[in-house]
Amino acid sequence: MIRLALVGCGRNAPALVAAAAESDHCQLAVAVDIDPQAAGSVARAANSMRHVGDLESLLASGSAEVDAVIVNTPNDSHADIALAAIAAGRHVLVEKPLALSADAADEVRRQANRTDVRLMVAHTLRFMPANVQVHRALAAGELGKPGMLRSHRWLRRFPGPPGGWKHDPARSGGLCLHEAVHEIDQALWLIDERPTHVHALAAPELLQIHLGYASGAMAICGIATGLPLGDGYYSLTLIGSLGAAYADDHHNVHLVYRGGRPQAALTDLRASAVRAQLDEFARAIVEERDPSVSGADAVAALQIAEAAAASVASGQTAHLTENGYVLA
Amino acid sequence: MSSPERYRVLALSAAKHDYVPLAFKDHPRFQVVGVSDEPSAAGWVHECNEQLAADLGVPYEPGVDAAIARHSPDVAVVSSEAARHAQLSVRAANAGLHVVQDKPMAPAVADCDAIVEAVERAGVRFLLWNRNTQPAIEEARRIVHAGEIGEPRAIHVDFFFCKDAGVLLNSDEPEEIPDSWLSEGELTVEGIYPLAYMRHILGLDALRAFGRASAHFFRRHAERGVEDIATVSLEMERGVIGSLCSGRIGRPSHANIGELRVHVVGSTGALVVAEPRPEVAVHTRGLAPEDDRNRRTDQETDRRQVDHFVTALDTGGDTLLNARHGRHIVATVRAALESARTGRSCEVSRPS
Repeated sequence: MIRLALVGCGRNAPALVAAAAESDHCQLAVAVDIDPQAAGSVARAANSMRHVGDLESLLASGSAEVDAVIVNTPNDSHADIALAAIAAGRHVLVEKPLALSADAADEVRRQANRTDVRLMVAHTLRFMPANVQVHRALAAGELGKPGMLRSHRWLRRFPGPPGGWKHDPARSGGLCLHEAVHEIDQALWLIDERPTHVHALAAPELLQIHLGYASGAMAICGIATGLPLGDGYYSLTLIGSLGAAYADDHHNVHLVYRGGRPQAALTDLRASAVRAQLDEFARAIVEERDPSVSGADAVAALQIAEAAAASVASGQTAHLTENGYVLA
Repeated sequence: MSSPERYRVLALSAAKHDYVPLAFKDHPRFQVVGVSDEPSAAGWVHECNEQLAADLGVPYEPGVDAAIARHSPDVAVVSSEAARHAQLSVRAANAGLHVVQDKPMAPAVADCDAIVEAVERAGVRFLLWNRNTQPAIEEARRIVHAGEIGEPRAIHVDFFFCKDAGVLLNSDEPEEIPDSWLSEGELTVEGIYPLAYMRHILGLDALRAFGRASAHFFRRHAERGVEDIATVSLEMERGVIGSLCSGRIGRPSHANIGELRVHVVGSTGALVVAEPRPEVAVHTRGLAPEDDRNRRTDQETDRRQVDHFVTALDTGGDTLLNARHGRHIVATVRAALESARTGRSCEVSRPS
């Protein structure tokens, strides 16, 4: 059983606590947060595990009570915390993005490789049950060669005060790094090819990334972050040369009648995705293999996310060259 | 001047499809008086025209000018090969006829400009046939215009037809599609529908386009150098973002007609509609794999389009998709395909 330290007891922590509680492969051992109230709250939710104020002291103490660290802090601290954990010989599962630049992410990847610890990045869309089915169909050859990937992901407006870190692009990386790395990683996973063209458009609380590939495949992904409070929406279409897969809320909605217009209701499968992700991390440690979402995957996604951000800022298209993505 | 009790309709060619002229067949405000075409049209086109005339119960008379002189029509319905659309529509407008035309408006923007110039100079109405009267599209338009999702910020349309077009790429099988099959590409031909949705729902035009296109499925498309799938990103008026996915994705790729959907994101909400809905699923023994299982419940879509057109004729008002709008759609498609060729976004041309 892999023992975990959860660093960062904010908004995503309850999902991670619940996932760990159901896992046969790992368990939470320590909650870490500079806010003792947040750490204490998570610790109580996880059968009164221990909680501390900082990871450094925990690691410096040489404590053997944790095998691995989950980095669940604001984006601008991901790389530093991951490097500290790696330096202490702990395996690391890092929330996306791995860092606020592809170069910084690559440094984390290199250090993990050098010290032979497992580094995994939480590109959770790969573990969503519907997407798993699409990938299986693709891997089995049922869909043929991927030709077009279309996705929509609509999120409720970022909660929290306007001054929170998610509202600050310098700390979050902006929509391209904070959110679109999910879609970009998904495209890399499903199309399995580095895009030659990256073209992105933005509007308030909206981002659209358009990818072109040398094989002729194409992907177009939309993200909206301004829905009213409530459930989000997700849609994925993958069209291959032999067939197509449609994995989305629009096909899987339930209706609830309470007077007035019927309301849509969705079965929430995010919890099983988080659990599957955590299990994959723990199994990779036990089996001494690379996790299915590696540091290299995260670096590749960030390179494209940076190209998308540059495309938004310039209005130009990023083209893949020998020197990486170049605007033209 | 009062409106006639019935407008007289002359069908000019039915080379590609017959659904446009047939939509006028039983309408109480129209009388189809004949079918005509250029005598120089291909033999197979004459055969199509003769079949349409038989279906309509009217004569087929090659020779457009003579047919116009003989029947004194008010409206020309043009449904020829795309390459002859402009020629026939301009000719009809120059003769003072209102024009209803099948898609695409024309392969080239310059041909569309000629149509715009002709219909505006003649002061006649022009309708580019579209699917905007589908109930789901009308509902999306109503929701947006009622302000139920706030100010529109993005519109995304998927328009995938699950039809085949001959044998697949890399297949050793003999081609099923004759050499005379003249597909101009899926975005070129079908792009009018999703782009017309955008125009109808938001009332906005595209300013710039970034496109990707490829022949991914069918050998015939690859041989002709035209696309069977395409994706387009659009910078639209008022800062709205648009996107379009279009394709002929093959019969096995969908249970019904295809994935035809519209997503709209507004400042206070969002909506998703599927164009074929409402629909009824009918499953029986004996259905062939190519038979649709789902059937649309609305049978009045074409009728509403014709009703709208007759209102435009009676009142001198605008049609659901006029010549300028149609021209802009073709310009958007051309910009997207040029972008796909160059790898850079392209401005959508405006009339000079």
